[in-house]
Order: sequence, then C-alpha cells, then structure tokens
Amino acid sequence: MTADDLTADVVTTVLFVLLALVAVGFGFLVFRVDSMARATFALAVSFVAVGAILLLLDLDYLGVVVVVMMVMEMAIMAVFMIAYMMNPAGLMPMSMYHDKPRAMSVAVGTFVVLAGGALLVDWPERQGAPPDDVTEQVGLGIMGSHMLVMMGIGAVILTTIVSALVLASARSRYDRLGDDLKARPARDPIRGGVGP
Amino acid sequence: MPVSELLLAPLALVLLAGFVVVSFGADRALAARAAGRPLTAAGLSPWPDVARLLLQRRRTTTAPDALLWRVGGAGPLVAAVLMLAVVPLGDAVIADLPVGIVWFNAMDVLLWAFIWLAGWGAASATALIGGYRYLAQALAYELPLMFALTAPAVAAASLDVREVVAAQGDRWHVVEMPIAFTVFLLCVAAFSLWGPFRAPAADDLAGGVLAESSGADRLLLLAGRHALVVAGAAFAVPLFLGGGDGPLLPDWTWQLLKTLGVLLVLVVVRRRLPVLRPERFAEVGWVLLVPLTLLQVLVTSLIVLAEAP
Amino acid sequence: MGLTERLAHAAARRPHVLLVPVPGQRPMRWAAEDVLDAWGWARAASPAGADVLLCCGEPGPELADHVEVAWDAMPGPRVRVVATALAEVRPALLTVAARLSDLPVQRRDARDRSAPGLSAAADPADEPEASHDMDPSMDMGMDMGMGLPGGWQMAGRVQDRDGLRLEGLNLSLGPLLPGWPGGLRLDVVLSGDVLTRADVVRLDRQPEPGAPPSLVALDAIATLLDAAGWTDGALRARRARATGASGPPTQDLLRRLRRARLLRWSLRGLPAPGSEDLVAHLDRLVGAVDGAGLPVADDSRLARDVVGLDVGTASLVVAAHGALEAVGAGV
Repeated sequence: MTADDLTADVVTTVLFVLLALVAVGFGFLVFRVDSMARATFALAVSFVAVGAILLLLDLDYLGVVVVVMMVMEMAIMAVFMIAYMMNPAGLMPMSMYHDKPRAMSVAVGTFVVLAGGALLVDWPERQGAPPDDVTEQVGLGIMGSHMLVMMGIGAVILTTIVSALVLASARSRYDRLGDDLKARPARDPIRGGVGP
Repeated sequence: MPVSELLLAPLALVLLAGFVVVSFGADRALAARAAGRPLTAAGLSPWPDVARLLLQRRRTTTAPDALLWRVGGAGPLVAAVLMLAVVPLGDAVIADLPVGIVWFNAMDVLLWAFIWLAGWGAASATALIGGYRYLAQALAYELPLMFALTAPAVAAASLDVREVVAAQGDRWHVVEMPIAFTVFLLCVAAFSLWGPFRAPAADDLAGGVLAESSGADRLLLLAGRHALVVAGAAFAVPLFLGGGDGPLLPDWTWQLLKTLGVLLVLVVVRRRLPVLRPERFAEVGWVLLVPLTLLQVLVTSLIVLAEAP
Repeated sequence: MGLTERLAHAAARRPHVLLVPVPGQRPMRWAAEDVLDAWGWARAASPAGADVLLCCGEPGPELADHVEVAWDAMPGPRVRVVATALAEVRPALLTVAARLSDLPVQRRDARDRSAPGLSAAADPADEPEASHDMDPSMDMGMDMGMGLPGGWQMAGRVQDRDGLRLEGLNLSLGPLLPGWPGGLRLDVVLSGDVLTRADVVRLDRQPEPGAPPSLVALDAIATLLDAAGWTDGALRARRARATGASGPPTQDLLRRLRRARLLRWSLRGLPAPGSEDLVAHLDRLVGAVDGAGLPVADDSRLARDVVGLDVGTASLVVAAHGALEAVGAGV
C-alpha cells in the first residue's frame, strides 16, 4: 500500500468513527431531550450521519438519497409528533423511558452483539479493485433479475396508498359534488386550486 | 477559465454575493418603476438594508427554542452555498460529485427542516403558522421538482452535472423539455420563499417565519432567501440551458450571462404575480404538475430511445 | 467616521416603517403612504423588522395600548413619530434619518429599556393568551404541573372546522398587522391556523372624513392588492390614488387589473362585503373608480365570514373590508 492509500485509509477511519459517534449519540439524544421538535431533529441528524457513512462506502447515490428521504420524513414526523404528543416544546421536564432496566439491557446488548460481530468477524480480503459504478453493482447484486418486479411493486405501493387515502377519507365524491356529481364548484371547506 | 481549485470556493461566494446584489437591485428598480419614483443608484443598493440589520439589536421571545431557531435561521444560507458546490463554472467545479443532481435535491430538502425550525423556534403563533405553511407548500412542489430534475438526468443518462452539460452539445434541454424547465423555475421560487410562493414569510402573517427575527438573525434568513434564488438560477443553466454553450465568448462568461438572465426572469415573476396561498397551490402541485412532469419524463425517455444508436 | 457611524448613516437612508393607521385619520395615512412610496422606504410587516413607528394621527386610548406594546417590541435603533396634523407628516418623516443615526440618543434609549419580561416580549401584532382550562383527561401519569415558563398554561381543546379536536389558541390578530384597517382587531380562537371563532373589535371608532369615492375605491384596491401579495399592483394603485382618478396611472392600473388572471384565480370563492366573492368585489371597486357606488362593509358579517377560514385567507377578507366605510356590530 502506498503512502497515499494509508492516508486515505486513516482519514476514512477517522471520519467513520466520528460519524458513527454522531449517529449513535444523536440517536440516544432522541430519548434524552424533552422537546418533541428536538427529538425529531436529533433523529434527523443521526440519519444524516448514516447517509454520510454510506458516502464513505462510495455509495454516493444511496447516501444522498438517504439524506433526502430521511430529512423529508423527519420534517413530516415533526408535524405529527407535535400534534399528538404532550409537551411538544419541552417546556416541562419529561421522561421518555419505560421499563428502563430491561429496555436498556436489550438495547445495549443488541448494539454490543452487532458491533462486536462487525469488528470481530473474519472478513475476507478484497481481491482486485471495487467496480466502477458501485451503486449499480449493489443494485444488481441485491435485486438482480427481479428489477422489473421491484419497479412494478413501487407503482403498486403508490396506487395502494392513494386508494387507501380515498377509502379512508370522510368525504367522498358524492359529498363534494352532490348526488349527481354535477355540482360546480365542489362543496369543500376550502376551495382547491384546480378541478371541480 | 483556468482557476486553481483553492480559489474556486471563495470565487463562488463572491459571485453569489454579486448576483444577490444584482437581484436585489433589479427588484428595487421594478418597484421604483411601479411607484413612479425616479431610479437612482443609491435606491438600488442593498447596503442600507444590510447596514440597518447589522446595527439592529437581536431580540427574543418568551421561551423560544433558541438552538433550533438559530439553526433554522442560518440554514437556508448554508443550503444555498452547498447547492452551488455542484454547479460547474466552465470546466471547474468545487465538488465533482457523480450524483450532483441528487445532491441539489438533498440540499433543497434540507430547507424543509430549516424553514420549519425557523418558524418553530421563534415560539410565536404567526411564525409557527409560517413554518407549517412552508411544509404544506413543500409537499406540493417537491415531487414536481424531483421529476423535473429527473428529465435532464434521463436525457443525459447520468446524474453528474458536467455530463448533463456535455449531453446538450447541439440542442439545449430547454428545447426538448420546456415543462421541466418551467416547473424547475417555479420550484426554485417555491423553495426560496420568493415571489408568488412567499406565503410562509408573507405580510399577512406579520412576516411569517421572519416575524420575530431581527438583527443578524434576520439578515441571515433574508440573505439565505436571496442566495437560494441565485443558486437555483445558477443550477438551471447547466441543467437546461446548455451550461457555457455559446458563440464567441468563453464558457464561463456565457454561464454567468445565462444565470443573470434566469435570475432577472425570476425577479420579474416576483414583481408581477400575487402570492399563491398554499392551500390553492396544493391542488395545482399534485393534480396538475405531477402528471405534467411525469409526461415530460416519458417524452424525454421516448426521445432518448428514438435517438439511441 | 467609525464603523458604527457609517453603518448608522447608511441604515438611516432606508428605514423600515411600521405604519399605525389611526381611525378617523384617513388623509394622514394616505399622505404618509405617498411619502413612503415616493422615498422608497420599505414598510415593515412586524415590529421586529421595523426602525420607525409612525402613527398617522394621535392614537386613542385603546389603540395607544397596542402602540406601546409594538414600541416595546421594536429592537433598537428605533424612532417614534406621531404626526398630529396633515401638514406635519412629511416634516416629521424628514427628521427620522437624523434621529435614527443619532447614536448617543439610541444608546441611551437602549440602556433605559427595562429587561425583557413577558409584556415586553409579547408580539403586539397578536397577543397570545393560552386558554385557562386544563382538560382533565390529559393527565396521563406524567407529572405536568400547572405552570409553564412565562406563565403560560396548556391550551384547551375545541372542535375545529374539519371535525377534529385541536387546541384552541386565543389570539388577537391585532390592529397593527400590515394592511389592516385602522383600529380593527380580530379576537379569534385558532385551532392550527383555522379560525373557529372570531369577534370584530373596533378600537376608538371614529368616522372618516369624506373623500371622493373614486379615491376611496383606489385605496380599497391598493389594500386588497397588498393583502393578495401583488406589491407592484398596490404601488401602482397608491400612485393612481395620489395622482387622481382620471390620470394615466389610473388607466394603466385598470388595464392591468383587467388582465390579472392569476390574481382573480387566487381571489375566487372568498367572501366579500356586498358581493358574491372577492373577484366580484374587485370588479365592483374598479367600477367605483369610474363613478359607480362603493360597497359598504358590515362588521358582523365580517365576523361570520372569517370563521372557518385560515389566517391568510381571513387577512384577505379583512383587507377587503378594510378601506370601506364600516357599519354594524363592533365596539
């Protein structure tokens, strides 16, 4: 290994350790802070750190996409946390632990087993160089010949979500447009931008 | 333009500041014309506004979430600067990411967090409503934005911004995907709280997310807003307008001129259109823009297939 | 000159003004707006963004309380201007630059201010008081206590427009929101951002002096366009008001209003005084510029109309009411 490789390795290791500490630390902070908003965004920081670790693995697309999805989800989750939970602003002290001894031992135990396994398992030596497009190879490796099925499933999931929303909605087309579906404009509490 | 890598980041910041000043001046010029005032150089300069914000004392409210508030206030400017990191100037780019387009998308998604935090942290009813309005607006424009970003990526078969520029050799993307370009510009205005999309920071909410900030915090948030418009305009050029393509002048000059053009279009849009309330825009975003952008991606894919060797 | 002096002189060239319209002093408000437009000074949307507090007339006792809260909420450097006569407006504004950049005076003002307490930090544009009843079913084994920082308490729950039970926040959408008519306060119960109850309160009610209906119509158009967010349109409308109803700026404005499709789309379906919706109201105002009659605003109807709307839409409806002569309920 050349000196450049060695420096790159050291930098990567240091970055990895820092990001890992951030991810685990902020994940733990989710339960320590009193405010729902802070808990949500502590979780967001933890996820962003995980995305950054993926970037270290040369999985550029996956890393950035993790950041995109997680930040969007955390922003929406914040809305719901604040709507449903008590004490959203953390103005009162609150404890979010339940069944502390058992939960802690399970959580810490799982972490030790997984992390210890990752460190102590006898990983094989890399033969040759990583492929050019790591993301594509990972995708092919995981999904392989089932790629088309996966894309189809994505469309099916979206359709299911939309159908579920339509079924769950308290007001149907007939409430909005009258029994003959001819009422214009629609009888909505707030008027929409397009359409009936 | 031969420029060493070290100089690129400060140069980008200088150019960013320059374009912010130009967009502010253009905005003031149009306002002066509408009001019937004579145009003077002093009237166009942003310096009085910057000076007053630098001099103004900071204030706070009862029981704000100070950490989240300041993060939210400074966030948009940081996001704008990070967006610029993947915009190439001529041949040089600060961060040569193979997934530049997705990086841009990630930076604008970070704004979901930042602007909501700016509204939440202020502990004020109007600021909080502003933050929630932003999320409502963001839900409506984010999918169209993602699909509008997908179209040039499909046409160039790559997520790397420089390869998208290279793929536009003889025909700019704006010619074959005008819908994606228009939607992209709309979404740039939307994520920067600009013009018709400034409902989260609008006057009817006493300034919305800006309602309680003053002094340096307000300056950061306002500067972030202008910087986001500039970053969005700068990103539109390599994606849709051929990057530095053009006769006679060198690449980087064309790029700057095109950015200026897009920026002026956005300023005119700001002056001419009323504010679109998020509840009206929500239906437009989902029912109109999502199918349109999907169709655009379909058309682009068909063109790519038709032209495949 | 030191850096601070340089900044102060630059800042004083374009201060942001929080305009306080006083009921019964419409000519002074018009004069102040004309001066601000002519000089290119910006109008602040909230006290946090303002350097100058400009009262267009001597505020009455009830309005003066709100003005005090706004004055307290302004961070320094700040200047207070109370114009008591029409001829005083412009000279008073001319002194602002000197007063703003007078650093020793501003420093003394900053030193003399009391430490921020609840009253000083309250946002005067809306004064929140959390509802006082605690819902007993919320006590679920967490030790909550009765008092929160700042003396606030947990909000109670109300039925909202969509059938949900959300918190009910008692708020006063105050008289100093930009574009609101002078002395109009809306005491609302907000759940989320939807108004579940609204009461119109007119502070220090005074009849406005007479003015040509076409100018009042142009003023109403300007207020509506400002609330709708078309600032250029509002600037043009105020310019038309300043130059008279038959001048070229008015014709230009009416031409632009006829072509403003997005504005009409955005105003469709919203309740308006005396018309079916705000688009019809806008057309009626355009007609009033040419000499037709002005609509009349009804405060009790306003209180009924804004229930079920969200804050932004309610502001639009209030702005449409704003510049017109008001009758009906309201103190």
